[in-house]
Amino acid sequence: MERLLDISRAIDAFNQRFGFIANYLVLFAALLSAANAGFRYGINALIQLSRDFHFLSGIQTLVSWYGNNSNAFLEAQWYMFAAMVMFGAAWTLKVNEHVRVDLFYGWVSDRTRTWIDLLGAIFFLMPMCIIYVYFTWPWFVDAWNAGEVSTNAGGLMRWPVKLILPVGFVLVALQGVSEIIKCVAALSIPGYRREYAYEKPLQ
Amino acid sequence: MIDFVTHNMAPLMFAGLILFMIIGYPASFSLAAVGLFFGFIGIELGLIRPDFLGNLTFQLFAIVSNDLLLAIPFFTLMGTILERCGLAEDLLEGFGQLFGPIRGGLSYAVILVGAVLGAITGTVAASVIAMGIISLPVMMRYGYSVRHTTGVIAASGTITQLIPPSLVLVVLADQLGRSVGDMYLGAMGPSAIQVALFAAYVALLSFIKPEDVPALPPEARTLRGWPLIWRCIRGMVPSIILIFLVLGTIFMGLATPTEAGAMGVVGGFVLAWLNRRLSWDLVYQGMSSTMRITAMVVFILIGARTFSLVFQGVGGKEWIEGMLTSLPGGVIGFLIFVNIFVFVIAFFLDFFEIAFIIIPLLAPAAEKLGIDLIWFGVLIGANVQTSFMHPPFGFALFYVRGIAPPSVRSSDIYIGAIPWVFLQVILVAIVIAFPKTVTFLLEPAAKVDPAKVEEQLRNLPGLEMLPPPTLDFGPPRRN
Repeated sequence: MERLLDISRAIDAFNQRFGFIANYLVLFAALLSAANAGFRYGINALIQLSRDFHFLSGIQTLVSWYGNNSNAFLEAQWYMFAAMVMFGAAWTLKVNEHVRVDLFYGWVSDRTRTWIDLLGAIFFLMPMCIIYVYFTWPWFVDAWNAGEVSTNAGGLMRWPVKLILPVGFVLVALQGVSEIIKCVAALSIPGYRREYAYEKPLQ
Repeated sequence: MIDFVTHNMAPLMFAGLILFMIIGYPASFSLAAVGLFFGFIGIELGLIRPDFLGNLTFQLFAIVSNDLLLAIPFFTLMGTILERCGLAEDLLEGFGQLFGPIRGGLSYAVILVGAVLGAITGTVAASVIAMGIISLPVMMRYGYSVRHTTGVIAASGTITQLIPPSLVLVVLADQLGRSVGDMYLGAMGPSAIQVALFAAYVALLSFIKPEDVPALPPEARTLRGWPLIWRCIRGMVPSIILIFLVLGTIFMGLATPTEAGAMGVVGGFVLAWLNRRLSWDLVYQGMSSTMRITAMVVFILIGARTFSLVFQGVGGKEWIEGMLTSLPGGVIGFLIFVNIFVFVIAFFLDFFEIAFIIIPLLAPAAEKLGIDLIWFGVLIGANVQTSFMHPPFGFALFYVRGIAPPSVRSSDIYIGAIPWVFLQVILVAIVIAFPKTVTFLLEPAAKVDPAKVEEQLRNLPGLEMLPPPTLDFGPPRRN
């Protein structure tokens, strides 16, 4: 059992790294999106400026560089969104923040809750992740082999975002294994308490 | 037995949904499990083709590549920053001092600030927490009743749901396939009515129960004259700039709702920096809680899409549509039924679950009955506000509980919420009775005359008559 808990801890630490990446993607995506919007609507002013003042002619290079890559920047926004969600979901599971309907769950004993989490992870979460990996992996392989590129001019390669989907579900499945181990430990080791266990709302 | 299952697959699946959800395992995974479980039964029974589930990949990809959903992390991040950037303090202290001398003055201040914060941010948590931390102690110190205090704070924070730019309206627009801008325009009227209703209720209270909402004693009025005006300006100017940055750019067509959210984030950073509140700690906490909320919400959507894909495959759409369109009373009967249903279900499900599971089931029936989907969406938006206020699971009440001192009993918070839920129900009734409250700002849908279109097509000018293309980085296209 101790070895299993070691595995669980290793998975938690592993997914924490991905959660960390996902955190930063929130900020980067917001800044990129704001910059995209700001640049797009400030662009005419920039062009005018560079016409009026010759020493600012470097702006024109910048503008045309942005113009040639604007689709890439727009697509990068939702690439980041995809990564933020798929990398972050496992960590969200670890800290028990996937919302529940706690009508029944809120009123039963801790032990029953552990059973629900155990069976839910085995029968709900794991099959879902496995089926999704089964469906999304071939998609990535196709995109990789075909070298698929966005249909927008100057858009990005498609395989990274298609890789993110199966990777995310593998991470969630791994976290599922870790949670299963914790549930088994909670049921079999007296005194073991799951971190981030469900807390009943204050009454 | 098999025959029975084959013919009643959709109702059985719906029952399965309720059963799987009520167990209490996280909703996203339970939803996906119902979908996949019944999907495989459906394949076994020959109701759906084996390759049907392959559509799931497209659904998943459509979710992560949906630009509009990016508004979720942006608005959430903006909310967490604004919650602690000092704006709410400036507003509440200014307006509190301004209205304080009259009975119920602090309540008016909370309602007004709730509306202003609502017009800046799109998330309830931010408004409720920010206002609660500042106003709750002050109101209790000056003798406002506990029930009224917690109720007015939770309810005023919930106005955010309806006042553009609300995240709820973005998600509803996405689910109903309507433009977010129209949805925002439509919500203007009802949100104004709601603010008026709340204020009228406080005015009523100050006559029938003045001891609940006393005026500030003279010694509590620390600001007068110019300092008071200065304080109000300090709160209002950044607010107006932020409102313009977010809402204005959407209405003027300068930015998509997503980009407006991102600009709001930057605006929030700047404001926090000006108020010397910007720290890495604040930013990082905002980022990480935003990430978890986004992942949670999008996973619910993934689960819900899995469910609805299979549900439609086994004929669920026709089943629901048949039931809903045959309700007595036509359109009004349908709307009343739907609103009662959503009101009740909001006791158990949170907003995102309602939007992703229930709305796709209702929308086709509404469209078939000829209901304007903008009106319908705003109506649902007004209705799910109550889901934040329902005791005991309403989120706004959780937030108030989280910041209230232990001396405030939870039962007081719950009882205090009830009158405000009633006011919200009255609002829903008004919007049902007077569709104009939503549509008066919207342009009537253009009537298309097929004959004219054909004539125009015949007389299309040649390509040489088109003006030369200009450099235009136009609005981003969704793929």
